[in-house]
This record gives sequence, C-alpha cells and structure tokens, in this order.
Amino acid sequence: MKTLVKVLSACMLVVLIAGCAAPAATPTPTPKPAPTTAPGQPTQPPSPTPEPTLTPDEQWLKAAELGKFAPAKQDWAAIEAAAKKEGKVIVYANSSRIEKAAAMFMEKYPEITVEGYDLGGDDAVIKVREEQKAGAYVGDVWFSGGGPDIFGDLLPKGYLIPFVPDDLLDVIPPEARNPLVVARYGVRVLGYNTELNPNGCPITNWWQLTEPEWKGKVFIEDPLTDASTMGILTTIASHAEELAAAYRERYGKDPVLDPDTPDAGWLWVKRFAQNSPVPEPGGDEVVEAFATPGMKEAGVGFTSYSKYRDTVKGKLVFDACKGVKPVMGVQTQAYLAVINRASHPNAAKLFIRFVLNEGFEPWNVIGDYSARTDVPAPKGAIPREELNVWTQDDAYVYANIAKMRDFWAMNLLQ
Amino acid sequence: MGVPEVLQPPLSLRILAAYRRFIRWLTSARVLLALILLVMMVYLILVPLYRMVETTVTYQERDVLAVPDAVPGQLTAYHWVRMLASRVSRVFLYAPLQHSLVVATGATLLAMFIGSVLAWLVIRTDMPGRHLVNNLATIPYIMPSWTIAMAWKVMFNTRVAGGTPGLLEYLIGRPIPTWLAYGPIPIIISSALHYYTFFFLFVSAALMSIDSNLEDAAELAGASRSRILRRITFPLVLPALLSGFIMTFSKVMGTFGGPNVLGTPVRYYVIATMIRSSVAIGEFADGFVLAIVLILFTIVTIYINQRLIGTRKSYETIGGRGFVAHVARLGPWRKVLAAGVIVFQVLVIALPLGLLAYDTFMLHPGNYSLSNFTLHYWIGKSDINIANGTPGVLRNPKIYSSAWNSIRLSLATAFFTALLGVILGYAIVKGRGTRLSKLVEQISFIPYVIPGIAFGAVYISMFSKRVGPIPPLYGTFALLVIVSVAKHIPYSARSGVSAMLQVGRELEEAGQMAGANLWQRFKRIIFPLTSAGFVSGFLLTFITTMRELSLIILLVTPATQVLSSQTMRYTENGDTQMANAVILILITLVLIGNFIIGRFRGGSLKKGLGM
Repeated sequence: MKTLVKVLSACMLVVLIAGCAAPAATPTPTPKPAPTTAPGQPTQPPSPTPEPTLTPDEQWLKAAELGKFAPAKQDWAAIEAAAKKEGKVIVYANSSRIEKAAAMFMEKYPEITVEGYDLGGDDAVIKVREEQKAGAYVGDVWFSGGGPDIFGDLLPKGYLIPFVPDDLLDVIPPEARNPLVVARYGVRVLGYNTELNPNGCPITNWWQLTEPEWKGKVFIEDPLTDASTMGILTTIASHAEELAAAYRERYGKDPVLDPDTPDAGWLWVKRFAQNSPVPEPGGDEVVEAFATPGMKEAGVGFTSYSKYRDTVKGKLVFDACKGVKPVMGVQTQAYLAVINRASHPNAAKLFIRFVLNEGFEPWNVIGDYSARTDVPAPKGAIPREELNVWTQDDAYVYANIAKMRDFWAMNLLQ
Repeated sequence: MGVPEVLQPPLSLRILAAYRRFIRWLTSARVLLALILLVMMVYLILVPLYRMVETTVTYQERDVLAVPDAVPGQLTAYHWVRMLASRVSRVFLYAPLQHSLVVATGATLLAMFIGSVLAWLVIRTDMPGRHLVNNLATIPYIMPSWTIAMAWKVMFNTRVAGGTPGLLEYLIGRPIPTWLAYGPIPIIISSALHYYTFFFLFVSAALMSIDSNLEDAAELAGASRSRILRRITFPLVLPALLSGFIMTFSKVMGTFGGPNVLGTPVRYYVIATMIRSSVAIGEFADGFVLAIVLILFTIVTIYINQRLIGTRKSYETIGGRGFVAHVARLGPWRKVLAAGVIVFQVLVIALPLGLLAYDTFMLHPGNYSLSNFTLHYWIGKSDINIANGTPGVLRNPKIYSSAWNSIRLSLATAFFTALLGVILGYAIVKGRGTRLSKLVEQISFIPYVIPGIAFGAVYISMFSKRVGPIPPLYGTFALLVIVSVAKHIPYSARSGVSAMLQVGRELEEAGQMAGANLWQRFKRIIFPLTSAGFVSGFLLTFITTMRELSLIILLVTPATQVLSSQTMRYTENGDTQMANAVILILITLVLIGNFIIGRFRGGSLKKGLGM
C-alpha cells in the first residue's frame, strides 16, 4: 500500500511538471497567409506551373480549385458531384434564418447535410480566428458580417478564401463581389414616429441632432457594447465632405473645426455625442423608445430598417426619414466565402451558389437587400434605387474603430 | 551553528531523512489532494489566465493602427498605460470601476440582509409556510439576471429612456424620478433580489449545522438574546456570510445584464460593460487589462476573507456529540411575518415571470386586447406570416434536443463541480494556514473574473490538438463539460469550504485510528457530513449552467446546441415571444431539477446530522 502511494506520488510529480510545461508546449501554429487572389477575379486562370513545393494551405487550395488554382470555368456538374461525395457542409452565420436556408438546401440536395451555426457576427470572427490559429479546421462556409475584421484580419491572413459562382458575374456588380461576394445588405436608418409626425420626419438635416432642441431625445443602440453601431458611427465620420455640405446648407457657413476633430465628419460625431444621445441596451429598445404606438411625445432614433416590418404589421409607428440630408442611413454587408482548409470545399461552393439564388428567400424581407441587381426589394420596402445611403467602408472602419470608441466615450461621458 | 561535529549524522542519512519527511508530507491526504487539484487547475485556469496576461503585455496586430512603430508580439506596457494612466483611463476604467464597487457593495449588503433573515426564519423559527419560503428562495436566482431588471423597467420606466411610461407612473399619474428608474439604485435593488439566494443557501446550511446546545449554554449562563446572537450565532455563521459576500460581490462586479438594462440609458457604465465593449470591437488587450483589475480586486477580497476567518474564527460545529436544534418562537407575529415574506417573494418572482409569460401569449407585443391572445408561440404549426414560419416551441424538435442537451450538460457539470467542491474544501480546510492551501484557494477564484468568451476562445486552441495524455476534444460534448466545470470551480470551492469548515477534526481522526483509509474516511465520514454543501454546490452549478451562454457559444456545435443559445437565436430574429417561451421552459426545467435535488437534500441532510 505504502509503495503504491509512493509510486503514485512520483507519477503526480511528473504530471505536475508536465502540467506546468504544457502552456509553453501548447501548439499555436500561425498558418502562413495564403496567397490571395487579385480581388474580384475568381475566374483568373490557374498558374500554369505550380511551384514544386506547396505549403499545406496551397495544397488545399489546389485540391479545392480555389484562389490562384481556380479554373477558368467553374464545372458545376463536377462540383455538385464532389459536394455530394463530401456529404456535409458546416456554415458559420450571423442570422438565425440560416436554419431555414439549411432546410431548403437539404431538400434540394438530400445527400448533403448542412450544419448551420448562428454565432452572431462578433463571435463568428473570434471562432474562425481561433480555429485557424489552432489548426482546427472545422468550418466550411463564412456567411456573416464582421466586415472590418474580415478586411483587417481574416482576409489578409488567408483565413477566408473568396469564391463567386461565375454564372452570377453579370448580375452581381463588381463592388458587391470585390474582394468577397456580398450575401445581403442591411440598412441602419434615422427613423421617426409617424403617429406624432403625420407630416413626415421632424429632422431634415443631421446637424439638427446636435442642437439643443434634440438634446437627450435621440436614441441609438449603445455603440460601446454594439460593435456594429460603432462601425456605423465610424462610417459616418468618414463622410466629411457630405457632412460639411449639409452644415453649410443649414447654417450658411463652413463648420469651424476643433483641435481634436480633423474634419466635419468627426466634428458631427463629437457634437452628437455631446448632445446627450440616449444609448439603449438593444435594437428593439431603440425603436420602442421612439415609435411605440400611443406615445405623447417622441424623439428620433438610429435603427435597423428591418423594424419597418413591424410597422407594416401595426406593431410600431416607425418609418425612415427619407428626405433627410445628407443621407437616410448607412448600409452594412454580410459576406459569403469559403473558410481556409475547409473539409468540404465543394459543398461550400454549392451552398454559396444556393444562397445567392433560391436560398436567399429567408432573407428576402423588408430591411434586407440582395446584392443581385435582378432581385428587387420585397413589396412595401423602399426600392433599392431610392435607397439614399452610405455603404460601410470596412477598411476605414477597421483602421479607425478603436479611435472612434475612445473619441465617442470621451465626448459622451465627460 | 553550535552543533558538535560528532553529533551530525552522515549526509546520506540526512538526505534519507529529508526524503522520508518529504514522502510523509506528500502522502498525507490533504497534500496529495491539494497537489492533484493544483495540477488540474494550473491547466484549466492558469493557462487561460496566462494567455490573458500575455495578451495585455504584448503589442497586438491591430495596435499598429494606433502606434505606428509597434511590432506585434513585442513586449510593451502600452495597454496598461493606456487603461491606467492616459486620458481615456477615467472613462474606461476609473469611473466604471467606481460604479461597479458602489453597485456591488450595495447589492451585496442588501442581499445579505434579505438572504440571512429568510434563512433564519426558515431554519430557526416556527414561522408557518417555511417550506414554501424555502422553495421560493431559490427561484430568483434561477431566472436570468436581466429578467428582474426588465420587470423593473416595465414598472418604473420614465421618459428619459423613451417608450411608454411605466406601470407605476400610469397608476399614480405622476412621473417617476429618474434615480428610481435608472442608475445605481435600481441596479442595486434588482441585483440584490437576484443574488440573495447565495446568502440564503449558505446561511441556512450553516444554521442547520449549529448545535443549539451552544446557544442554550449561553442562555443558562445568563446571556441576553441579542448577546447570544452576537457572540454565538453570528460568529458561527460568519464563514457562510463571508462565502456569500464574496460570491455575491464578485458576481455583481462581473455582471453585465442588469447594469446594461438599467444603467445604459442614463450612461451609468460599470466595468463589466467596458470589458464587453473592448472585446466586442476586438481590443482584447484593453479588455483583459480591465478583467485583470477585476481579478486583483477579487483576490484582495479573498485575502481579507482569509484574514478574517483563517486563523481565529474557524469553528467546527459538527462534532461527535449529540445534536439539538431549537426553534425560536415568534409568537403572535408569526402569521403576519409569514404573509409578508411570502408576498415579497411572490412579487419578486411573479412580476418578472408574469411579464415573460404574458408576452408569449400576445400575437403582437404591447397589444393587450383579448383578440390578440394566441397560443401560436407555444403550440402553433408553422405559419409563414408569423415569426418567419417557425413552429411553436412545443412543436419544434430542435427545442427538445436542446433541452435534453442543456439538462445533460448541467447535470454532468453540476456533478463534477460538486464533487470537486468537496475535495477542494477538504484540501483547503485541512491545510488551512499552509501556503499550498492558500495557493489552491486563490487560484480557485480566478475563473470567476475571466470573461466567459475569453475562456471559450483559449479553450479552442488548448483542446484542438493532442497535448500529452489529453486527446483533442474540440467539438465534443466533453469539452463543454470541462469548460463549465472549470468556470464553476469558484462555486465548488466556496460551498466546499464552508461545508468542510464545520466538520470536526476528531471525527476523521477517529476514523483514521480505526484503520480507515482515505477513501473510506471520505465515503463514510466526510461526504455524509458535507452533503449539504455538496447539494448546494450541485444546485448552484446546475442552475447557472442551464443559463450559461457566452462561455460555451464558441464551443457548441449544432449537435450540442443548448436552450440558452436558442433564446439568443430567437431574440436576434426579433421573435421575442418565442425567446421568452424558451426562457420559461428553461426556468421550468430548473425548477423541476431544483425540486428533485431538494428532496434528495432533505433526506441526506437528516441522515448526515443523525436525525
């Protein structure tokens, strides 16, 4: 008995030492950035003489016929056959409607099982980044927003591989597939209470939101906890010229800049933050704050245009401020891509093409817009061509979002 | 030294003696257990913590944007300076930290008052309806922390946050002052109403094990009632109070839900909000600096705790003697008191739950007319016009499989956590005062303050490849259990320690002398006597795991989907009725579990106390 305990204790010591050593020994290989294709040209011919020694990432690219190994013409019969052999596709998405799309896909292709994860944009970014760093290649399809991180991090590192079905090149304009194909656009607009403002939006110029009359009466999803709202503020700041023009239109003179505001864009954000906007914990709270039926007085708010669905149903009295200067809102994009080293690359391609065709149906509702020029907005929604919005510049947002958070917090809380 | 050389034994003998002493030290049960636990915790807790610290002291890739000459991976104090001593420190660290401390202290004191009074009434008085009070006391903790905050908003909403006025303003016809609707006061009250369960569970376990002979002796000696309370009862429940204090305090410090609902509209931010804010935009280093500041605050609190009860005030109340428990007679007040307590509890529970339930029966939220009543969200078939064609929750096979996963995960986690708690309690208490024991106790607290999402992210890289004897577990159910157990080590340590503190040393020594080995002593003496602690640890973990989301979101797969992630899906989709229906299912499941565990607890406790 005593000896047994001794032997055991010796073992424990060994394990203890091993345990201490483990943190250092834990493998964290950083995959070499895969060679990225020229943006927007998935149809680029394959390089005629592949290098004799390929990295594992390149070997996978070659086998999957992606990136620089993409063929001149996509052979969809072959892709479909290979996809059915793979039998499965794992999708990382930021919308719960992925379940519906997955069910539709499996009805069309019973041989292929879809595992759709609804992670939410921020968590999808973290999951892909950590999986790739750890070499745990699980996901096949990226179907989510998170644009700033995609362009600042995931794409440069080769974690996401662009893929556009070549039969859709005519109906998807270059800006919607460069460098990743846009699955859909969502729109954040300035909205108002239609019940209390029968003559339309009380705001005609965004600079009104910085005036004393609207102090404490503008609602916004808390930018400090919602990264997408912070991204929208950053996008707004990037449109200095339009905001300067709107300033001139309202006050008849050029805006006077402060030492900490490089241009009229940042000046607007500063004045807006200083005018005590009301942060709300979630998107539902924002629209309920100014557009619940039966209110006595109401402010305005930045809200997702998809809430207009509830106006149609009679649950809310919200509409977008359509004529406001400089724009009615900002649109953000959700992208589709193949995840690096995916185990089911062909099923991933097939799923991407499906979502860009009939698989878009779950998202074809008020508030979402297809990237395809031949898919009109659903009935009741503002038509695509009348949508006067800025498109989020993901690269600018990636470079400036941290700075914007500091700037916003300082001006809001001091 | 003055030792003559002839008396000095030869070197080989001295080494041998030292070796023997070492082996004896090593093979004593508490040391062996403490070492095993230490190894485990090093891997499960210190590795994630090390990664966090490492992140804060190196340049991250995106720092290049702010600091042009930064080299990613290079050592730097940038993040610490930025958070602690720059122009943004006040808004991101000092002001929120101050708010957190105010809220946590206030909520803890209020929760202590409510929980202790209820525990005393249930265990030591003849108040009618004690069983009901006992059962109701765990329910507020079962509800997600933000449900009470939401109910508060519905009751007290003012114009500041927009929307329609709260119920109270509607009833009294005058606007509610803002301080009562939003900000620190409502956060303190709603958090205390949520967390008083901690105090209730710990204090009632402690009161149950106090032998009334001690109080009787004092009474015979002529002590007044208040003196007995002060000098006998209070010191005996002090370890339980302090356990409850630490749990509640650190939990409120780290909580995001309540402050988010009741603080955000008046721009009253706490440190948990700022950690989340940093992580949300990918500034992990900044967020981890804030999290480490939180960890340091918790360690200071534990240190104070150890100083208070470590040496002097450790009382063993379960001795080898007979056990008597007297009840205080409340006299004519008992019925009034009982009614008051039950009304209070029912209000705290019924209001949030009622609002949730009411919501699930409305076709369109906010429309209270009878024509708007529907059972669709519960039992409706798929209808494309409602909730994008999602069938009612009771018709949805996904809900059933998620519910089963939730139950499986919670039971497994609760079992292992509670078991670990008894072992941890044994190792910490029996070695109290030694450095090893302190180390184990302090490490056991760290998971509390590591953000759940950071835990998940680190575990992906730790468990995606084989490391030594550990197989790659990423994507398996086992990893969900491991991460949940690791995150709940603080719970298990707390309940284990407060249970173990009361078990007399002589009981185990008697067993040892009778020739019982460690396993037999555990099985026959320690475990039966600490079963109350085991069960409360089990219960707490079971409840929290059922609700846990951010910890496991990165590690779940569709096959291991749980109920809490289903609510997130529905909420993001705007189907609040279905989200609320799922929350109600979740609460119901926990209540059933609570009921079953409660049965078990009563039975085993009586056995343990020899009643």
